[in-house]
Amino acid sequence: MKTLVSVFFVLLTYATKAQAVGEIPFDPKRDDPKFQMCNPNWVWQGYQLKTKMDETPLLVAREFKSQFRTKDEWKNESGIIRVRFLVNCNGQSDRFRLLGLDFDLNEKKFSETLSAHVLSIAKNIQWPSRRVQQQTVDYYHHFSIRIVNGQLVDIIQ
Amino acid sequence: MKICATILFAVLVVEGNAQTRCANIDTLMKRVYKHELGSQQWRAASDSVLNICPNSAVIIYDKAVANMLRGEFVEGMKYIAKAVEIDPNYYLGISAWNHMRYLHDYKGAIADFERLEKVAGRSFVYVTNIHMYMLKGLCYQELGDYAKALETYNTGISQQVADKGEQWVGSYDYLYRGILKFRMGDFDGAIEDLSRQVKEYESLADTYYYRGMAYAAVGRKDEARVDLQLSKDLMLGQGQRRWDPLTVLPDEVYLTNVESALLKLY
Repeated sequence: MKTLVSVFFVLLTYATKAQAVGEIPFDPKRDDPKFQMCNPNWVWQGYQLKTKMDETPLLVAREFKSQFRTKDEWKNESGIIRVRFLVNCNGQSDRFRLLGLDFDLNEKKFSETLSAHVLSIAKNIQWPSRRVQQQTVDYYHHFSIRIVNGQLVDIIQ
Repeated sequence: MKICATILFAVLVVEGNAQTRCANIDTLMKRVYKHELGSQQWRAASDSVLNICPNSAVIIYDKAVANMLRGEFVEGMKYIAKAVEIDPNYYLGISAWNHMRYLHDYKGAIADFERLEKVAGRSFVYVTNIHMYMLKGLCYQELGDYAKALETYNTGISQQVADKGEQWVGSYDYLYRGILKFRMGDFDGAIEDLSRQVKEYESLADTYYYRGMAYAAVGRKDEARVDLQLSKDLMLGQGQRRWDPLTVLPDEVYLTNVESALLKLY
């Protein structure tokens, strides 16, 4: 009985702390403490804000194709790297999180230097400010890249 | 302590009733749908429905979508695999579509389509609202196997024509095959298919862009200019362009593409 009750409490604690899917809480070890959101209680998702004529994907593809430089040490690196992050109402981006997958879609860790390279390209992109009813808002966004033997072969947006 | 035990008991009783209440999945889902997909409130409602109906593919797939949309692909694909286990007839095609759309995993998608064909016992199956072979053909195209892509598109289109008639071909089927022929360098074939596509869907800017490019490639500059200009006008005006808020589509056409093609003509 005691065990059941503790399990119940653990579940209860989990339930009260349950996050939205894909939420990125502040992590003092890697996030910029100066990065502020206008409305932390209402963060949009990029797909809710994309417009018919938006050409951000062209910009992202261009940046990645021109800035990605492979290294010899990455020749055994293959899989998918997803990059998810926040863009605030001032058009600044932060809280970048990478998710590595092998081609069977199991989570995997890519080499530190490759991850850092991908992250630096993503951080240098000027992510667009998005508006809802004339107001700029905070939003989450993500994209992924496919890597085969250290080469960038595809950008999934 | 007593209160806790009572609550725990109540939870267990609800669990016990689970399967009997599950016939009501559509009503239960209304509780989930009223919250923004993936939000905290959604998660609470979704978890409670999953508790009641642990074997309902509908609630499981809803969880998958929330995760896929927000880039949580590991979780999302786990839920999709579960939905497939429960209802392979419906979810194999959906699984393939997710592999294509969010991961560009075209090999994985083809494997799903092949399983679907076996399960269904036939190849004429709609996935979303498209003949499965049109999607499978697109996978081969993206993998660079143009010959196989063409063969697959041909089967998809001819099955629909034979079964239902020329007017029942999918809304984008000739566009897909036209683009493929354009990529293969078969410009006359592309022009033929894209002209059929124009009849299917007159206000779609994409078709005129690709037909304009095909005209340009065979030196028919005046026709190219007319098509590309029309494509631009449709995009900026009342016409449509294929786009999706969630992902970039294969061979999606942007205004910049049309404008730079026009500039190259002059």
